[in-house]
Order: sequence, then C-alpha cells, then structure tokens
Amino acid sequence: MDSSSEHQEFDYLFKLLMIGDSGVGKSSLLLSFTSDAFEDLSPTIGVDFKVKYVTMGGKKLKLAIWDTAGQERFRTLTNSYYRGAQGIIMVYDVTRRDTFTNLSEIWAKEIDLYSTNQDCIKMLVGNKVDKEGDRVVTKKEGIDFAREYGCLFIECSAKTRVNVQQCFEELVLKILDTPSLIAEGSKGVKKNIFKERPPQSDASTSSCC
Amino acid sequence: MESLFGSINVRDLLSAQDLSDPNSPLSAPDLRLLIQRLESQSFQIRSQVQSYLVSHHEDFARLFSLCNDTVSQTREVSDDVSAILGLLSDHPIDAEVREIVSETKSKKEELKMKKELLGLVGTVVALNQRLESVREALKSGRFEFAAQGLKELKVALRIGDEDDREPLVYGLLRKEWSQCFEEIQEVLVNFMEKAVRFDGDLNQVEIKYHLEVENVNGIQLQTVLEAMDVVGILEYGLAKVADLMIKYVITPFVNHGRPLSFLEELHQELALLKIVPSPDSKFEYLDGEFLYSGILLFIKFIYRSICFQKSSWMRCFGRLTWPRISELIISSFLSKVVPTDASKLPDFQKIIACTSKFEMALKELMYISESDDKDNRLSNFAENVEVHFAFKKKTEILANARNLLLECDFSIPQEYTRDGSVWKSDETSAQSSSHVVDLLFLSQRCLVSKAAKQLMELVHQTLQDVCLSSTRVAFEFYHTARDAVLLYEVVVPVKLERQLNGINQVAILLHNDCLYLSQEILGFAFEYRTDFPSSMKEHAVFVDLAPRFQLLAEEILQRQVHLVIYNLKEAIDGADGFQNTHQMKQFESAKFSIDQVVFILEKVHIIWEPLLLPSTYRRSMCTVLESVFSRIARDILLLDDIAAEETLQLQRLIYLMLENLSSLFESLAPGEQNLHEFPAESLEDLIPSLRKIRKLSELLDMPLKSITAYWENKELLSCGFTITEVEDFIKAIFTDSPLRKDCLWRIQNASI
Repeated sequence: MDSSSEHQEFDYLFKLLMIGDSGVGKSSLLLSFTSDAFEDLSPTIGVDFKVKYVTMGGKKLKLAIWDTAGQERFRTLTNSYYRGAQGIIMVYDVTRRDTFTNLSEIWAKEIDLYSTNQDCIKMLVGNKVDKEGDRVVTKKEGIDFAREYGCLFIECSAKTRVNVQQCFEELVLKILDTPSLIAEGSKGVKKNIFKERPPQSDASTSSCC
Repeated sequence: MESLFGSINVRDLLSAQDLSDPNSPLSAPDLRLLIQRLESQSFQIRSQVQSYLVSHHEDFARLFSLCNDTVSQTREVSDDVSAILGLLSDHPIDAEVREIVSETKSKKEELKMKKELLGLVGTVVALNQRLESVREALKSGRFEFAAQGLKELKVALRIGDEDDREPLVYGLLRKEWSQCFEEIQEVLVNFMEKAVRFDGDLNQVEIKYHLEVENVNGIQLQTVLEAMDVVGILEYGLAKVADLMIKYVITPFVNHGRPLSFLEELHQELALLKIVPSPDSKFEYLDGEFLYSGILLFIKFIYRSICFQKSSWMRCFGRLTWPRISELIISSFLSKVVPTDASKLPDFQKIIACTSKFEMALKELMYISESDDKDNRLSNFAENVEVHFAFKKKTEILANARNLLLECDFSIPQEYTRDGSVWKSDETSAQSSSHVVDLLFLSQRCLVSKAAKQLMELVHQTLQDVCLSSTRVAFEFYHTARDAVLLYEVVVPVKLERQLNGINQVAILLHNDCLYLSQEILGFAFEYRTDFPSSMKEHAVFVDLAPRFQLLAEEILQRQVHLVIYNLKEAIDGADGFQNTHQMKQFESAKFSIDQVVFILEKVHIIWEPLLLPSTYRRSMCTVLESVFSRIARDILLLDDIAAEETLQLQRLIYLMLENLSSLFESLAPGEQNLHEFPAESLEDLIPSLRKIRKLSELLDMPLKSITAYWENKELLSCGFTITEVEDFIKAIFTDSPLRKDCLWRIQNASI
C-alpha cells in the first residue's frame, strides 16, 4: 500500500469483493489492477486487501477490494466479509468448466444468503482468455449466465492485462449510477445534541442528495 | 782449582762472635787481622796456579802447536783459491760444462719416452691376452672366471669413461670387449631360459639346477646367476624369468575364477612349483588371507630356488615383478572389496591388517625394500581406500543434503492446516508422517518441512556410521554431519527469502524446522558420544550448532510478528484516528479498518495455530493482539471531542471487532493439555489492552458519575487507564458544567 495515499481525500469509499473458486486468478486479477506486476502467486490464505484510489465520473473514489480464499475457518466472518459491499466480482476460469458451474451452484447462493445490500452490483468475469486453445467455457455461455442472473459480464486476462481496467471501471461506473449505493457512501453531518458547536465546514461532508 | 771460581766472603775471615750483627763497625785489630788473612789467601791462590801450570805443561804446548798449524793451513787454502779463480777467469770452461749437461738431459728424455712406449705395448698385449683368456673360459664353461675377467677389463679399459686423447688401439680393445660382453650375455641368458621354464601341459614351473649346453657339462644355475651378477646383467637375466612368472603363475592365480593353490617339490637336481585347483572350491577372497598366503608361498619358492636366498638377487626380482603383482592384487582383489557403506569398514580393517602383514613378510624376504615407502603399494592403497571411501561418501551425503533442500517446495498438505489438533494429539501418526516430528526436549509434536525431516534422517545415519567406522573415516563423517546441518542454514533462508518477507505458512514452517534442528542437534552428544571412536569422544562438538538454529528460529518468528503488527497498524492508520465516526463516510472508513484488522488477525490465526507449538502460538498471538488493542484504545482516548452519537458509533466498532474475534479468542484459551503445564491465566492477563478496550467500550455510554465512581474504586486504574486519559476522556464527551467540575475534582483527590 502506497503510504503517500494514506490520507488522500476521497468522495466515496466503495467496498468490492472478489469471489470464486481457488485458482481462477482472483489474486492475479486484483494485483494486475492495483499494480503493474503479474506473478505466479501462492494460494491466498484468508483474505487479502488492496486499496486503490481512482477518479471516475468526476468523483474521487477509494476502492477497497477484498480477495478471499474461502477457507472454512472464515465462515464465522462471512457476514463481515459481505456486509456493506457495493460491488461483487464473480470470477471463473474459462479453461476449467467446474469453476463456471460452481458460480451458480455455490457462490451465487452465498451472495443471496449473506449480502446485506440487495442493490449491490454484480459482475461476472471470465479470466485466462489468453489460453484460447484450452478454452472450455464459451463467451456465449457467460453472456447467458449474466443475463439470467442480472449481472454485468466481461472476459479478461490478468496475465496479458486484457480488459482488467475495463472490468473494474465498468463495475464502479455502475455503482455510481445506483443512487442507493451512493447514498450509503456519503451522508450529511448529524448534529451533536449535547454540544453547542458550529456545524462542520468541511466541504467533503456535504451531501449530494 | 775450584777455589779460583768461588767468591771470597770477607765475613768468613772475621771472628765468629761478630757475625750476628752485620751493622756493627769493625775495630782496628779486626782490620789488621783481615789484612793478614787476605795476604795469606792471596799466596795460596798463586801457589795453586803455579802448580796447575806445571802439571799441564804438555797440554798447553800441544795447544799452541795446533794453533800454529792451523794458521799455516789457512794460508795454503787462500793461495789455492786464488789460483783457481785465476784459472777460471783465464779459460772458458763453463760453456763446455753447460753443453754436456744439456745433452745429458735430452738423452734421458728420449730414454723415458721409449720406456713408456714399451710399457704401453706391454699393457696392450696383456689386455689382449686377458680378453683371449676370457673368451676361452667362456667357451669352456668357466663362467665365473669369464665374468670376473670382463669386470676387471671394464675397469682397465675405462668402459664408459673414454678419453679422446687415448691411442686408437684402446677403441679396438673396447670393441673386442663389447663383443665379448654380448657373447657372455647371450650364453648366460640362454642358460637361464633352459634352467627356468613353464610346462603348459603339466601347469608347473620347472627349475633345473644342472645344465648341459653346447657340449659343456655340469653348469650350475647358481654359477650362472653369480656370473650375471658380476657382469651386471642380473636384471636382464631375471627379466625373462619375471615375465614368465607373471604370465603363467601370478596372473592365473590372482584372476582365476576358481581358486588355485601351489605345491612345491624340491629335489637335488630339480625344483617344481605345481599350480593345482584349490581343494576348497567354495573359497572366496573374503579377507585376502588365501590370496596373500598363496603369493607368499610363490615368493618363498623364488627365494629358495632361483635367488638362492641372496638378498640382492631377491631385491632385483622384486623390482622386476612387484609393481605388476601389486597392481594385479589391487585391480583383482582390493578394488573389489572396497566397502560401499560404513558398516563394512570394520571388515575392511581386517583386510588392511592382512595386507600389512603380507607386505611385512615380503620385506623379510628382501623382496621389497625395507625403507622405501613406495614399495608399500598395497598398504598405501588400502589406507587410501579408507580415506577415498570417506571422501566419496561425504560428497554423496552433502549432494543428497543439497538436493533435499533445493527440491523441497516447503508446502504443507491440506490435512495439516485445516485442523491442527488432529495431528498434534494423534499418537500413532508421527512415525508415518513425513512432516510431523517429536521434539526431544519439549515433549511436544512439531510440524516441519519434508526437507528438514529427511535431512535429519540423513545426519543421523551419518552419525551412526561414525560409530561404526575407523577413526579417520569417522572424523570425515563427523565433519560431513556438521556440514550437512550447516548447509540448511546457508541454503534455505536464501531460497525462501521472498516468503520470509511476507505473512505465510512457509515462514512458520521454516521456524519450526530450525526449532526441530536445534533440539535434534543438542541430542547428538547424548545419543552418539559413547559409541564414537575413543579418539573422537573428546573432540566431537555439536553444542555450537544448536544455538544458531535456536536464534534463527526466534528471528524468523519475530520477523513474522513484526510483519503482522506492521500490517495491522497500516490498517488502523486507515481509520484516521477514529475521528468523526458519527459521519457516515468516516464511520465507513473506520469500519473498513476494523474489518481489515479482523481479517488480518484471522488470517494469521489460520496460519499460526495449526503450525506453531501451542505455547508459541499463544505467546506470539498475544503480542500481536496487545499491539492492536493498545493502539486502537490510544487513538480513541486521544480524541478531544466526541459527539453523543459518536460515542455510540465508537462503541459499535469496538463491539464489532471483539465479536468477530471471538473464535480467535477461543483459540487462545488454555486447552486441556495446557492445564497440566501452565497455571491457568485469563486472556486479559495475557493481553492487558484487551481489558482496557473492553472497559473503554463500557465507558462510552456510561454516566459521568459512574465513571467517577469507577476511578475512585481504582477499577479504571487496574484496567490500565491513567488519570490524564480519564480526565481527557471526560472532557471530550461531557460539556463543561458544575457536575463535570465536581467529578474531575473528585478524580484528582482520589489519585492523591
């Protein structure tokens, strides 16, 4: 995490989750988006965080992106993991069919069960398209699943960085277009009922409603 | 006449009574007496002289006459010399004398030269006659005489020491000598070939002591050998015998697939060495005894039958054959019995002893040199085999160790990380598992890498070999064991450098490896020292290695703890001091930070609990939690203005964090097994800041009077709050009022 961005001002804080089977490339996708590096990563243990500051639609955004391995030990924290997430990226590997079928059988059910935000934006991501020769899940199948489930869809490659930026940008733009999600990210000042103090003059606290 | 030569003492002429005082003056009567005595003495002297002259009158007369004659003769001589000088100066006689002398000298020189020439001719004639006699002796079989003659002639003719100024005739004589030498050499070697032969049909060596060649009867073999020795061709003569023996006797004996034996038959005129199959057909060259005794029997046969027990001859035969025989023994026997593992080395020690005895016996027979170590070919090889084996084994062991370390991926199977309590308590799985080991000094189990476990198995095997080996091999193995252990220290931290800079299982596994290695190393001395070779007992040291791994283990663990704490503080920094959490954006940021803290801690929980020893896990995790809670509490207590809703939001964040960490807290509770090892300690005793932050969450919605009462009964003090923190906390939450003033005053008083 870049220390110079520690106290960077932002308009909205968005919590994004990445879910999917182990080995589909969630961590590589996240790393590819937040830095210029790509490397063979060892399996994720627990949860990894990445923070990235971006400017989209004229707004300064702080993206908190969570990457999980889904260990059983974390079941006690699943509620915390999904709570308040504005965006969820569901990742599968186009060269492994089971990772695609598990999205509908396992992960979609988990989102329905734990997500506290019914309006959260979901995006289906088919990764590893650089291995076209090994592809076993067609693009059409991905489009059909997305349409049925009501989510965005994109295919990308963390390795070649194809569509990585577009993936997150598309998701964030969709969040910005959803008023209920924006409202949660920014609310007005509430008055201290015990103190007679002038209201906060910080412009960043003004409501956009 | 003696009185004439004596001195006159005047005192003797005086009276007796005056002698005692030399300084007394003389009186007048004394002087007159003295005069009288002196006159008397003088008269006596004159009388004596006259008497002497009279009695020796004739002697004096002859003396004077002799003087007169001498003077006359001197004059005559003077006259003669003058005459001679006149003669010489008047006539040139000296020139004639010089001519005569020169002529005499040249004549003598001519005589000398002619005598020398005559001597040379005599010498040449004599040498030629001697050569003829040698040749004649050779024809008649008198080899000793012929050989001796050749030897003497070699000196006389200065064979090998030619002089360019010699007369040409010497070259001719040397040519004759060389021809004669070749003749005798040919004859003697021919005799040897007839005397010593191998009968292929009977498979035996035959040695004849009496020979007949070219009408010469009764030649003795010993005579032939002596002649060869005198002439200096013994080595040449024995060379053919040596070749024959190597080809037909030694090589089949050493290489034969079926064991062979030698049988001797000694007669007056003949000696036989029969090569027969050994009666024991199942016999093998296990320790070399059979092989060495057979060869020794052969050497003794040569010693008696061919070399006639002469040490110089035996030495010559040894020089001709020992290099080849020893090479055969090495290639056919010693090389094949070189041990391939340490347990066989004691057996090889017997072979070394047997080999040494064999060479000693050869020395006694003068077959090999007593003083030249180069002749100890077999012992040198046998001794070097030991060192060579040790070195080769050492290289092999270290190569294995290196491969173990480089090829291991330091991963852990899933079943060990999912639920650590299973393998930790299972009593039967330790031996079968490739990752679980029992620690020597902690009576606990530990999860280690496959590399560490296999490396330690390799080291234990090496130390067991030390116990079974000779001192030199054991010494090499001991250093090999140490080097293998040190190899881990230099290879693995470098290999896993990237992992050590992150929070992961590999780093914890490495910590466990080092802990395991340090304990195993400490146990080496107890386990093996009593069985080490005696000279190594006092020198084998392992105690210096164990602390290095102990320190390395602790260093790795502390680095992990620091990395975790760094990550946690970085997450807490995102909360921006928990300011303005009554505002939604700030609250979300703070909650995000708390969530990060929770997930980081849970991640560490997942990594550490299955892998670390329970006590280590508790100690390390409590260190981390203390750091987190103290930091969060400090940040909240530093707030100088907390709105009413802000207190509720802060309380909510603390509750959220503690609730989500409940499973982590459960993992830190003392388990059943710990109750026997440690006195039960509450979690808050281990993490003082936990008690403080829990109390802080209560204070956030507590009335002012209650806060004051808690301070007065010292409960807040026991939770770790300072008076400054409490006062600032009250000022931050409650508006200024007479009640607040009164409470602050009471708090001040309670502190005094």
